[in-house]
Amino acid sequence: MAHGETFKYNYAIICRIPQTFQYKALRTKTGKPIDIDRARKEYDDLRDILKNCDVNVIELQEDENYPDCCFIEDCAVCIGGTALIARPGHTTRQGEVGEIRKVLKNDLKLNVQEIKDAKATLDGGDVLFTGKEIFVGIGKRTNDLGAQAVAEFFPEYNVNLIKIGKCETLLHLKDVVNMAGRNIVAVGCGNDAETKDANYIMKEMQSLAEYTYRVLHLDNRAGVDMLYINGRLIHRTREEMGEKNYGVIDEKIPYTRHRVNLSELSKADGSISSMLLPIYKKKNQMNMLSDITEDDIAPFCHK
Amino acid sequence: MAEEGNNKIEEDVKSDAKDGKDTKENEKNNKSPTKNMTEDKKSPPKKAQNRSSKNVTCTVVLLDGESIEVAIPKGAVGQVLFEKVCDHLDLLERDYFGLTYTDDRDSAHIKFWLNVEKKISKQKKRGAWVFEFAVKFYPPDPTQLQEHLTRFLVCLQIRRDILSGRLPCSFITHAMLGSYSVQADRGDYDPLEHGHGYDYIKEMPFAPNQTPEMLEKIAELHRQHKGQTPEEADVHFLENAKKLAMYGVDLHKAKDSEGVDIMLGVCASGLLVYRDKLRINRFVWPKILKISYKRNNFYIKIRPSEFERYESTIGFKLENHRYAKRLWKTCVEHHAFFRLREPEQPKNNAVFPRLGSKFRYSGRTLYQTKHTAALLDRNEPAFERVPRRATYQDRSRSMDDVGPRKNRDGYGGYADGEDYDNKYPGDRSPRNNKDGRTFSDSDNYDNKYPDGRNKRDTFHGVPTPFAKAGMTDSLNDYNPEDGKTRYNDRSFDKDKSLREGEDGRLYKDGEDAYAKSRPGYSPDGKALDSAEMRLQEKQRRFDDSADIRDRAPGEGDVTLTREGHIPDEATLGVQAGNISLPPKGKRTKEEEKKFKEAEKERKKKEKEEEKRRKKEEKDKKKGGKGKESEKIALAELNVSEDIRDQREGDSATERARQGVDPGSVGLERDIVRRDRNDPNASQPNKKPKSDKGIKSSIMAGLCAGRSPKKESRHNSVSSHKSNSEEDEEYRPSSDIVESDKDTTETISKSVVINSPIPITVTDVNQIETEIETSVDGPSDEDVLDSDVIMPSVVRELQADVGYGVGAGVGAGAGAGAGGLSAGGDESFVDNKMSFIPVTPADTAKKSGGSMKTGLDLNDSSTMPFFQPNATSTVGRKVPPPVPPKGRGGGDADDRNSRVSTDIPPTVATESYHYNPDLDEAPVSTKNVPIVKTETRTVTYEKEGYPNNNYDFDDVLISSQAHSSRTQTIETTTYKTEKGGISETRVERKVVIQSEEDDFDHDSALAEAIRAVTELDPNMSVERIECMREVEEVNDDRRR
Repeated sequence: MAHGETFKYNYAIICRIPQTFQYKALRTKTGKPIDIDRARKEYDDLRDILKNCDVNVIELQEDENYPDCCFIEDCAVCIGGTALIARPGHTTRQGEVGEIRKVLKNDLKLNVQEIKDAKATLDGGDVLFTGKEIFVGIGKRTNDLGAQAVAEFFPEYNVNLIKIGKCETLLHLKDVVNMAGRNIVAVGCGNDAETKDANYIMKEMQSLAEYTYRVLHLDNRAGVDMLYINGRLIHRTREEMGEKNYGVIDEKIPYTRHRVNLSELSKADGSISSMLLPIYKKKNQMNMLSDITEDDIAPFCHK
Repeated sequence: MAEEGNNKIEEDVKSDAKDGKDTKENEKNNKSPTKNMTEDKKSPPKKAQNRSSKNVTCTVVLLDGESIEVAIPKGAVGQVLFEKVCDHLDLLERDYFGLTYTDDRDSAHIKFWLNVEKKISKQKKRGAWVFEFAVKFYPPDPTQLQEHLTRFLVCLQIRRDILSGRLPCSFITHAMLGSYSVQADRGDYDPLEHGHGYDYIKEMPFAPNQTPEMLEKIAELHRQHKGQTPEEADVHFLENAKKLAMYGVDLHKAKDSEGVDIMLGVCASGLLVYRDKLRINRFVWPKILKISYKRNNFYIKIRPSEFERYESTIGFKLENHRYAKRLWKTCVEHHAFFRLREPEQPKNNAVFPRLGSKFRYSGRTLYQTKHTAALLDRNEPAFERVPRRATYQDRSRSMDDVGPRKNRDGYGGYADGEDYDNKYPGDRSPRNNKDGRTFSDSDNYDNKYPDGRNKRDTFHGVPTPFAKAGMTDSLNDYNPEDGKTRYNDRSFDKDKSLREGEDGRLYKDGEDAYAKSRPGYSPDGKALDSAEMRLQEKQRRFDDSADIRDRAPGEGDVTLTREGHIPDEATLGVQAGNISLPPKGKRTKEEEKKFKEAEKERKKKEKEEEKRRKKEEKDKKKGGKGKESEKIALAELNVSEDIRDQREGDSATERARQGVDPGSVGLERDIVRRDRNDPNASQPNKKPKSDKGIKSSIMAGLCAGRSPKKESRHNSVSSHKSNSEEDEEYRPSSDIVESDKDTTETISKSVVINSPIPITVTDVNQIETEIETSVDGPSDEDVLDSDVIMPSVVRELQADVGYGVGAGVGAGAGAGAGGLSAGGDESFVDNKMSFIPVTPADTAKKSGGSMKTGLDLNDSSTMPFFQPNATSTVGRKVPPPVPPKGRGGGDADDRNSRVSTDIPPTVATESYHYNPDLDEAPVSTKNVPIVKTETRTVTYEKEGYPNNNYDFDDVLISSQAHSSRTQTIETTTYKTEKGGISETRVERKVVIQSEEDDFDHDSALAEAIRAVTELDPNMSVERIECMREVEEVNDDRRR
């Protein structure tokens, strides 16, 4: 049934961390230098977790030319059997998609689509698929044309536009909101500026959202960094997100959880979801991939 | 063929007709025209030439691409044709469907929905009578449709939408949906029959740009569906299609205020705004307070959000005025269909001749149609799944789509992407339109595949089981008022709760919310009454359903009613005779049965009514005596005259209609009936003992004006005028409804273009109530889950709730905000406009649990009014209750009210308010020079007009308005609490207006007054206002 297929993945593409990551990775906030070994350790941990999540992990060789190549999420948007090759908003990253394209097309044989407009930019991290509709954040890395491409290639879904250009505290839409489960949106605040941005985004989402979601409020960005995959939730460790957030998650999330520490990678704006490209490939798709249920339509169906 | 354009189409039509249909029905129909057509025997069916004949042959293109010919009387309304088509299809769940036509005046060949209420000839003014049958309201969950046939038709529509690009899909979805189509059309994959490749589906169109890969995929998926029956395949198809983002979204091209190209999408849940396929805004119905259009502008007024204080109006520009109107109509209809329990206007027009509303949705709502459908019990008709090829024509339902494009060569046509390059092809693309061969295609098709058609026809040739005509009659006999009123009340009630339920559901606890709200909704603990009501409702419903079962299920009372009302009834009836195939004997029997039933019901109701009346009377005496003496008899007459002619086609039509309606007579009837009704309606609710006082105040649908408000009201009136003036195009009195709100905002700066002459009668009824007002703050919060992201609707609701409650206002949410002085107007407006249901406030109330009886009653009674107006009015931004023209205004005043109303010279668009209390002597001059473009208002008030008596701490409890073409009735209820005693005052304001020269304002006024006072002796005339708008000095018509 279609319902069960959202957030269900049978492949996950990940990419090893290149040596150049240590010094050349793009960082929105400067801070302590990155310890490449620790970063790699975190990567390994994540990979191991994924292997326990009922997905086939496809690990790509790192490419030293692209220090950010480990953030593979930005390279494509995959929903259902359709993969839209992104056009990363940062020029140094645009070459990363080549390898991904090959894998998606030749190995996974997805329905691969390309953005035609050369002016479009699109980072996968700006695209949030809720299972029912899509939100695209337009800001630092994704522009209007990129969002249009999403709408064009995923016409089955409502594609809602959220302008995050003014939000200084985030790079990608998914830095602030993530799906913590079916119909559960996690949103993370933090300091004042972050809270402001988060509130703004939530407001926009509420006004545009066609469907209803539950919101999981967390009070820092580490807390909201999570990935819901195959009925499990991968999130950061207690130390990273703090006791309070951890308690909230403990309380609200009943299903299996995996914890991973990404503190080193997050120095370069890495997040769990940014590290992988989860894919659901089905030979014969009999139903549209969507969480939309009768209840979602019900408000206007007088039963 | 198609390429040859319109001429060709005619040819086709002709030849088609000649070929003849095998159906008996058609034969029959064709015959009569021929007979009658003495002069023009050669081409009988052609529509153009039947000046002399009674019947016209219409060509209707069905969803499967076939076209049928239907003969209907020339003067028939759309419904006649629509019903015949549905009969042909044997379709019962018809409310989702409609007929479209292209307007040949329009170069773009945009499609318009045929208004079933209006004569076809008034709509399809030029060109051959060719229509397309299409899904008008996409059921949100088509899988829940009752019958296979209906689902099949919806599938066909969706296939068309997909082909036309109106419903965009990705490759994968195309393949998946396509495979279900194949399964439905071709059955199980069979290698012997279908071969091993995808050749067997090569001719089938699936997508605008289909590729061999796609076909391959489709064939592959098809093999997986083995075992699915066509019906199951349809369900699977719909199961997926309904989730598509653009499913059921009717797109209209527009520009936003900054001139940016956008698309406005109307759908079940509201209005969506797209820019380049991205959804940039979304306005759900509960968030929209008003929808209007003016010239080529389309406006929506948005309910203020939690943190905002004022509503905002958002404007969009459409290509031209007609498109704006079309969009507006679409919105009105979608809103009514998906959001209301019942259409806004009572079905039984007899009660209420529909004088003014220009347009509103008149069919069944989704809610009703579902209920009706649930009661269907017939064996599902076997239907022919037309050879798949027939469906290949790509006709999209999109109103904007011109129609079939090329498709002669299989689906190749689509591949060229011509239609496709529109981002949302749904929007008309001039290119497509140009060839305008919408119909020729189908004709073509018919010719090509005569077999298919014949088969079908034969099948349908069997007389349909339903006979509608008979039903109609009985319906008319049915005690309309009673039924209607109650119905409405009920509906409102239900509506509310329903909405609540909805909202609740949003929070995921719909049931709960519903339950909670229910009690609150019904008047204080008048459980009995409400129960009774419910019972009646049920009964009613039952009856309805019975009717339906007996006859044509799909067909509503509507039809009947309409027939009864329409001036050309006779004609209609005759025609109907021709038309309807159903066995007569049966029909009559049914009719009789029906009639009897109706009679019974009516009697019962009457009795009840009587009982109630008595009780009421008693109550009144008890509670309201003291106050009665205080009643004031003041009359104000406002006559404004405008001499402008309207050139707008629509208004012209309207006028014509008006002409038909016996002016005063109609009014009279109207009023009387209304009087009767209202009491009934409100009574059930009012009964609650505690609310005795209130009960007595129930009036016949007249509005009582509240004295303190005079000023404001006055203002509003004038502003109305100005409003109306602004809107040159749509003057229809129906506008009245809406105007109030605008009043506040739209000040009368504009030049008077039109001249409305409204007469306002204000009654004030004061009643003492011992009832305690118990308004509990609805605790919506309980229901709310703060952790839920609710679509804006929900949030709005919350906000509103808080609002309304805090204010202690029972009436519409908006009204609450209004406060005292503004309150009346606002609420008035609200109701009218409230085309957009003010769900939130209501919800709040309901859930609150302890609402005042009076309030609720009022609310519910509002509904009926609200309905008619709402629809019609909404469209116009400007039209105020002060329609133009009224020559008789002055005289009327003199006669009816002892106060002589004369029009004092005034300056343009200024109103003078004469208030005896203020020592201002009314100036009475009979003939005053008329200044160009001016509005005058003369107000007379009864002495002792209790201006001062009304404290401004009155609380507006409810306000409702209802308007017909020439009359607007506004009822406002206020409540004051003094030392534990709460006093309820009911004001009724009747605005009589007409643009007609010969409109008899005198008698209308007299009638109105009589109606009010007769009904409720406690009511007294407080003031009469006469307003006239004049445009030219020399105009003879003045006065």
